[in-house]
Amino acid sequence: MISITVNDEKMQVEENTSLAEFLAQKKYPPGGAAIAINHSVVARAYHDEIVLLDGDIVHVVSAMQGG
Amino acid sequence: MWNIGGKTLNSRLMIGTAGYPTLQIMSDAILASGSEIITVALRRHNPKEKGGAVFWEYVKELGKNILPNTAGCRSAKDAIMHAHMARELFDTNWIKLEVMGDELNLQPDPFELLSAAKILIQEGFEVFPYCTDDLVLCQRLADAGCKIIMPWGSPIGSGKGLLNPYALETIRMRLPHVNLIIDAGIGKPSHAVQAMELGFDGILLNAAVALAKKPVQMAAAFRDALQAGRLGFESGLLAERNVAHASTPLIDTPFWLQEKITSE
Repeated sequence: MISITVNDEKMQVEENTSLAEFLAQKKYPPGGAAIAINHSVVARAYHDEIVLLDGDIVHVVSAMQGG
Repeated sequence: MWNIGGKTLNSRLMIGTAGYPTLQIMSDAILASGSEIITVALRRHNPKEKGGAVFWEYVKELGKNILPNTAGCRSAKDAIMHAHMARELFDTNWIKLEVMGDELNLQPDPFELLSAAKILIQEGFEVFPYCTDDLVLCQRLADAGCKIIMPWGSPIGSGKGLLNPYALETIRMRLPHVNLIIDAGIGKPSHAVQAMELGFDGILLNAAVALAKKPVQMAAAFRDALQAGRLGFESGLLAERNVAHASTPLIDTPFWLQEKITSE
């Protein structure tokens, strides 16, 4: 297991988990969230390729009402 | 018809999606407004909350152009990161650039705003900067490549309308080729008419509609106000005069009135 931080919450995930697998496990809506890892935006096209590493800081944002 | 951000649109009204009593009322109000651009925000995703997903379904159903904002950002660095995330999420290069400088009146920070605008434009964003009505700031934003500039009428949500029409009129005069949008402070349809009569290209508002007793009806009122103001501006407004000027011609005035006029 590795330790990552998602939106300021510590989490344990299996080693070699891709970002796409992690998002699916956590039931994030496909296409409904944007992701940054260690303060760099990860384009949707790379979600399958990116493998989460120990200590990664992940930010997940979604749409909300705004003016 | 007008062009903004590479699109040709009919409505000059942009409307926010926050603060409506229900999502259905939000949707109905947006449709009643005739607006083709709606603003949305980003937030940290919480899988336990279903509200965000439901909101997004409503937004997609509306089929409008999405203008994501950078609300909550207090530095150029934060705003740039926010813009990158918004581009990824909403698949648009449009960004309503907001960088707050003061907690009390939510006044934009002009220095951080300009700094962020320069970088985002270089990165290919169509930047819609929310700024104060400072002429030089607006000029610097235009120099940086902003084709759209959005000075406030008054602080966000204040409903005070156009606090400094002179400043706004001057910006309009000095930046004739920039799309100028009044963003923030609009409280009444008459404020929107005033802005459009000054020659502004559009209005961005939210609270005046969302917090009205009848949001859908108010949205329609703003739709009509913008049309009236724009038509008035394009028609050529009567210049103010300090003395009365009779509308009725005096030619062929009956003799009993002619006598009185000539004796006065």
